[in-house]
Amino acid sequence: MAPLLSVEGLVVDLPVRGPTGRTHHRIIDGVSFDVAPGEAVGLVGESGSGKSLTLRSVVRLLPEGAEVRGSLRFADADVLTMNRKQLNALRSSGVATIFQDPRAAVNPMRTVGDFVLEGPVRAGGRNRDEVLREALGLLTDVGIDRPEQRLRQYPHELSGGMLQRIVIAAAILSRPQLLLADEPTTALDVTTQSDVIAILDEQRHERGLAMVFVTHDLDLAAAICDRTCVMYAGRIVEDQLSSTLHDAPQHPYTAALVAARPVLDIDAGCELPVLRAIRGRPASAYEAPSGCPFEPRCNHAEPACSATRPPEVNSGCSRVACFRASELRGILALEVETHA
Amino acid sequence: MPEQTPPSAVVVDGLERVFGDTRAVADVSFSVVRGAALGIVGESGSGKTTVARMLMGLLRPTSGSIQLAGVDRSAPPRTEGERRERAREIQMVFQDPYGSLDRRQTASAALTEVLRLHANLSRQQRDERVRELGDLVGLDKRRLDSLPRALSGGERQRVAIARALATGAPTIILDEAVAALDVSIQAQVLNVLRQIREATGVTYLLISHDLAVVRYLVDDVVVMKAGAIVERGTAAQVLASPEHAYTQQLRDSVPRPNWRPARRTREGAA
Repeated sequence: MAPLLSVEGLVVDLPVRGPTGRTHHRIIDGVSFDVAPGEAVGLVGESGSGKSLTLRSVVRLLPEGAEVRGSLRFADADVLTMNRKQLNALRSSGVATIFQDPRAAVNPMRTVGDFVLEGPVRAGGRNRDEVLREALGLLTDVGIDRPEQRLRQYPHELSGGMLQRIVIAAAILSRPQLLLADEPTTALDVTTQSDVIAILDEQRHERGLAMVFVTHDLDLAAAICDRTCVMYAGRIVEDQLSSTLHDAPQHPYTAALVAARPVLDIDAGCELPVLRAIRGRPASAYEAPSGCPFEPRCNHAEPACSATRPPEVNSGCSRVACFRASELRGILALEVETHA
Repeated sequence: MPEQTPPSAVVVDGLERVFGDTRAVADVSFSVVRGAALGIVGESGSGKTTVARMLMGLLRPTSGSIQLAGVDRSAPPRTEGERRERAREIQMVFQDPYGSLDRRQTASAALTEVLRLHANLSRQQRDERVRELGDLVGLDKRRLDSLPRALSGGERQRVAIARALATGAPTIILDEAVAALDVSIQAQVLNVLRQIREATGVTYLLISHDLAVVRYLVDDVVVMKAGAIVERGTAAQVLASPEHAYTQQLRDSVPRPNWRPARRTREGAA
């Protein structure tokens, strides 16, 4: 099947004002991935990994002065050469985007109803009453009580959790083919998070909605995405089926991320292990060394790792950028064993 | 039994707080012995932060009592002297370390200031204590002499922890203190918190929505919902086999492999 979204060799440089005038910092350094219709792909990483910017690049929501190279194709259209009108069409019907902070998405001066109904009505095909009926149903589905009243209220009258559920309902209402979600549940309570995930899951299975889900939470990505791409310093270091990522990581960084998380299920009476923290801190692409970006923090690094950048190697359903991937496989599986 | 119960660090009895028509905290009782760690688990609106604010003396309980180290501290401090006294009894570390540090003050200057206020030490003793606190939280001389903006999120949170310890307070409330940190950094800070407890015998009250973090850091746990405690016990027992439906629901909401969350609303409508 032809991919719905195809990202190839994406490079993004952002302008920064330094002591010597304007310069650019590389944030994304050669990212490639495809999303098939109906497929959910997770982008996971820590601060500075470039996961959010990768997502924003797809609909060209980038800061002023950003320099983008590579290829971005949605439904076989070249996103990077689209004019303003084509971009608006892309953002209003093909691709919906939701972010962590719902207050950034809504106009505080207008009612929630205006926000929810405006897009789908404008996009045409349905009249206001039809859209309203569907909206009320969706809002009930996402756990909003008294939806008629909520639509008459203003954003400041609602809690962040409620507003986020409304933003998600509005995104679904425009019937996009692809949903871009950037940490959409990070600020929500866990029980609200599971409601929201259940709704996104239904949309995927009932309507074939494709999704790119950005999160720092490897467990969350693995639980809801078909495939997970682990990002570090502006690159994808591992791309694997979510079902095997947790037990059989192929990149030392993925294994280290899994092993660093405390485990919920430990038998009473068992000594709690010291967590395997990763030394140092996450790096951005522009501050990463020229070889493997993870090399300074990696427990398995060899001299060769700092010499050149490891290429992405495909095998079966997975892809990994590590010189030692094949010889480390068994060792990494052992590292995450207590977390299985 | 001849065995002596260790002295209590915190005893809360029948604590209640009403805001207008809302009972934010209703009949909350718990106690923590010195050197132990209690987790308070619950979602937004459960009242856990209101309990913390009453313990800190930032909010007056509508009824009920609070004892810190055996002394009644139900009412908020009124004078500067009383406030200082309370600060030496209990401290709080917040989620966002950036918001709680002065951006023009180096870590060592922040610690020195707290020591000058709360400890009767010579200049040389103070410098020595700053180094000790730095060692305890894993900040070297270079980091201690840095401004907050030059530190990572985890390092800033270590400064906030060291500052709480500098007051000499035997009890520290950790309010979602590792929630905003990157996974690799969070592990560093969690290990540091465990080491500090072993080394100093400090008492923790951990407020968190992250059950795995709670399991890692505390011995006992209370689960709060709508202002009241609905379940309590050892962390191992409550988190592994919760009895209350709400605790069960919190557990089921933790993402894991093959997780297929069910929607509460659709169940209700069916």
